[in-house]
Amino acid sequence: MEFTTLSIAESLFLLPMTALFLTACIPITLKVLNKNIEPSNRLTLSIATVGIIVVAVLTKLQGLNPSPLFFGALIFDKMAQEINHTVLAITLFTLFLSYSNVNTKEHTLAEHVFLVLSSATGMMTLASSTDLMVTFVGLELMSIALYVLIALGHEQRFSKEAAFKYFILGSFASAIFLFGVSFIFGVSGTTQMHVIANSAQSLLTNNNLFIIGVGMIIIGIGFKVSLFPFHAWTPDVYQGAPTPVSAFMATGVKLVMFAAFIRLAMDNFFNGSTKLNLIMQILAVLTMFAGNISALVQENVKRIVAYSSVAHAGYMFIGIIAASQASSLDAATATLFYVIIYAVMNMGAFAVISIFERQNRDGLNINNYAGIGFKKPFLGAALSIFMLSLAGMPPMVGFIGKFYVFSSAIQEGYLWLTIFGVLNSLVSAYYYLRVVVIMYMKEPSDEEIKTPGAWPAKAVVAITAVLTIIFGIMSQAIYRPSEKSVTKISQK
Amino acid sequence: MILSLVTFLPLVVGLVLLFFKSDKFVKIAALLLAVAEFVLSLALLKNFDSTTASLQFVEKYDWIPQFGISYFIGLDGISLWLILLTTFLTPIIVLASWNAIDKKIKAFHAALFILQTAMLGAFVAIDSVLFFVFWELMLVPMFLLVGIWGGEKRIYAAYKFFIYTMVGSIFMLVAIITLMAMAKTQLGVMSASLLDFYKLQIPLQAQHLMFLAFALAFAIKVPIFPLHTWLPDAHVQAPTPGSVILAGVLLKLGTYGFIRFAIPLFPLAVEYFSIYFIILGVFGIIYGALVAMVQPDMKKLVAYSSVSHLGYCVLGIFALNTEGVTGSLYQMLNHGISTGALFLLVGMIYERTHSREIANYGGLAKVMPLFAIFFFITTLSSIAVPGTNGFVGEFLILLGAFKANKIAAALAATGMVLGAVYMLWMYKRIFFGLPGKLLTGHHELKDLNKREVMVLVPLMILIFVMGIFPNLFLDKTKASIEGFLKNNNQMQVSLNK
Repeated sequence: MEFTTLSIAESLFLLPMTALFLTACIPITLKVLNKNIEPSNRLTLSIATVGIIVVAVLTKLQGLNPSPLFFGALIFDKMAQEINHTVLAITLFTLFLSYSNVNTKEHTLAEHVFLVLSSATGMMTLASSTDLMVTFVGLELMSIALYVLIALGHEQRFSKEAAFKYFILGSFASAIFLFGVSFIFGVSGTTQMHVIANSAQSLLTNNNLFIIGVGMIIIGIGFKVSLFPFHAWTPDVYQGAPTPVSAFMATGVKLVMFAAFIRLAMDNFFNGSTKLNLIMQILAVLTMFAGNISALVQENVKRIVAYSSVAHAGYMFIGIIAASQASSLDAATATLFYVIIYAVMNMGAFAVISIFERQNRDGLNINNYAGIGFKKPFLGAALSIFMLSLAGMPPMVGFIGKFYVFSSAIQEGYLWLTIFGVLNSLVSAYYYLRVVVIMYMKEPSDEEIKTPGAWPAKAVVAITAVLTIIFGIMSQAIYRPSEKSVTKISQK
Repeated sequence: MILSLVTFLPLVVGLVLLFFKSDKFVKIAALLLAVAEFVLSLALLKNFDSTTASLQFVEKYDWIPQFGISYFIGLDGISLWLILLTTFLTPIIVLASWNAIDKKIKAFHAALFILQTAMLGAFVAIDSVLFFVFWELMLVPMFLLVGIWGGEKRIYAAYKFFIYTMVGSIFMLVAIITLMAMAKTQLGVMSASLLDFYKLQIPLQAQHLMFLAFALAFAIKVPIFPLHTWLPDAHVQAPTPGSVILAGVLLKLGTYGFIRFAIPLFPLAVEYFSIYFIILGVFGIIYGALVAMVQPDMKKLVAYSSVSHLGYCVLGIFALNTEGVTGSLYQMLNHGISTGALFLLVGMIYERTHSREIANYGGLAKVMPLFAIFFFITTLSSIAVPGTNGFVGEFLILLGAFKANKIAAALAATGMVLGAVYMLWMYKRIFFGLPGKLLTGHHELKDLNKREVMVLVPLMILIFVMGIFPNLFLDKTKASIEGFLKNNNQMQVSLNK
């Protein structure tokens, strides 16, 4: 389908995003109409759940369109669809957690739902974007909702501090991203990624302005996925934000931002400059070390998971580096696989943390987990599964993900990067095991642990734990679709 | 089908047992199912064709086809006995832990059975990635066994075990991936099958590096001096069942890995490095024996004797001749049985007195005659007295070693003397002489009860059967070992040209 002017058929592709945004508005409108009296949490959650399912079905029904629409701004290909479905699942799980979490469930769930779904709309935009400006719009749409979400926790000090920190630094990063786009526009005369793809390789070899532009884009996206040295906000913000929001950021934001990285890699943005390539390799290695080594000494579980998410950004970035060399489809598939399965297991880990969280950020210290493995066998086993999967132990899916990324890196000739990667796995094993050790091998406190009304969060734990194992054994279930979805748009 | 059944039955049992309430029922069910598993594995022995070196009971299904990874398992004469050793020891361990494990009984059995599946899987896997999956799967249950049911410094020991093993395995993973990438360039398709790896023409330098990567993983597991330091900690802190399984089977995966992976894959590297491994093996024999001699703690003494015994295995393997490799394989089984029995015996006395200090004992033979007899038989086996299984293994290894390197063999032979010194000296101090501190005190020591006798008798029978009729066992392995050596020589010759 080629469109010269905007037609109705073309506009229909926006239906899912629109529907998601409309869903976002329902609970909060109800609240306003009802003189600011909150609709019941159950009603809010039901509306959102139905809305998300409808949007997921719409995304599936609208079919695919392999070339960019809206004058080259958005694409609705298989990758966009796969990512959108994952984003929707993440959003649904996040809301399940919000429904049960002490920090979000009481007064402001309607606002919370509105913001999460708006942010998800931004994520869907990002997944489809083929234009750097649209990427920027999606990024801001996603982020601005997040700034408010972080501040929305009932707990006062940390949450506000985190929101402010993320807002200031995030604005900087967005500005740098935009600055980079202007460089690229200045050199190539367009902001459409698939058009730039044709000349990117030669520009990267002989045009320094273009390299600077690409570098700034890496900084902008790298901030959101917490690459070293733009990762410093991660632990503070993950710790300060309400746990469901941390989960949403660690899974959703990483997913779509790495999708953007994959699209850039497929469009030759990182292919051609050895200098840029070297810098990216250094970033990947430093990111892994920064995340893993800092995680070793943390006492707060949310900070442990936050630093682990920094480290995982490093592993994923190895995949991006491998994919950028000659735009390797295998490596891109491996990266996409890794990002998706990372979302599954990390969501599970946050879900368990969210269940154990108490009023006034109690219950987040790692020593609060002493003896939980035998007191709460189901949650303990699930958290062990997530931790071991994050550490890359077979037969959990985390191992398969690392295996794919590392083997694609070796095939593209990045043996050293892989060795750094496996060394980091070794370092990380210590702090993931530490959680298991405390849960199973330390004497429990006498305090009874109650988890009332947490069934939606427990459902999330159960689903993600089962998926973590099933995808580990049957990784084809994700690899095959991912393999089909990663394509080079420019060659069509 | 039967091989998969044998491999995965324990896993299913372990997971199902978690859902039962009654501890007593779990124990009985675990024992019966472990025996059933052993009987099932005997079917493998019965249907095993000992005339061929090729793989038997092969099952192959695609697992991750785009990477050429398959669910590919099979059995030959080398892995056959190790599998039987595993299934044989499990019911004994379950029975031995009847009273020794007094908390979290369900979780204990689950960990034990999952560990059993992981070990069996590692022995039967022919696909390298599948092997790696099972290899890593062993870590977590063993980590839990040491960390939850272990002694005072159990958490430290558990970490040490885990991290040491992982250091080795991560480099092995890199080597496996590199081999897979090589398969893609040389054979046209990516493959993780060991049989495809055997066909590769690997350049010399790559052989050296990858051999070292594999060897590191296996050497830590064996353990070869100087990578052995995790073993005494793990053994001393682990509960008796954990020690038995660690010494009995887990360590064998290291030596098995050399035979299955490191040596046949990289013949040129082996040619270059084998002398170093012979030196390390001999050093381990003597060093382990000397350190064992001065240990005040029985369990630590047995742990260091493991280092010494496994030095023999390494020496035999790197002698690279029929006698050496056969002896080495035999020694693996011997060590599983005699050291397993020693750990069980130490555990039994520890249950009664809560002390493992040798100096606290003395004159025990009078108080616990039955115990003294079992301990004596095991000691004889451990120091390789003719007529016991230990003799056959060590004799074959020394025979092989003489062919390969006379000095190494001569030095290794001194290890046999040292072995007699530390074992008999310990025996003397515990069982003879004046009653020790613990016996003059208040409590009466009871001799072994029926359950404990039942635990030990099968092991004692095997000690003599294996010592007197070694051919019962060696016949099955002959073809496979000759095949292994022939391939290796051919590959060295063809690559050297």
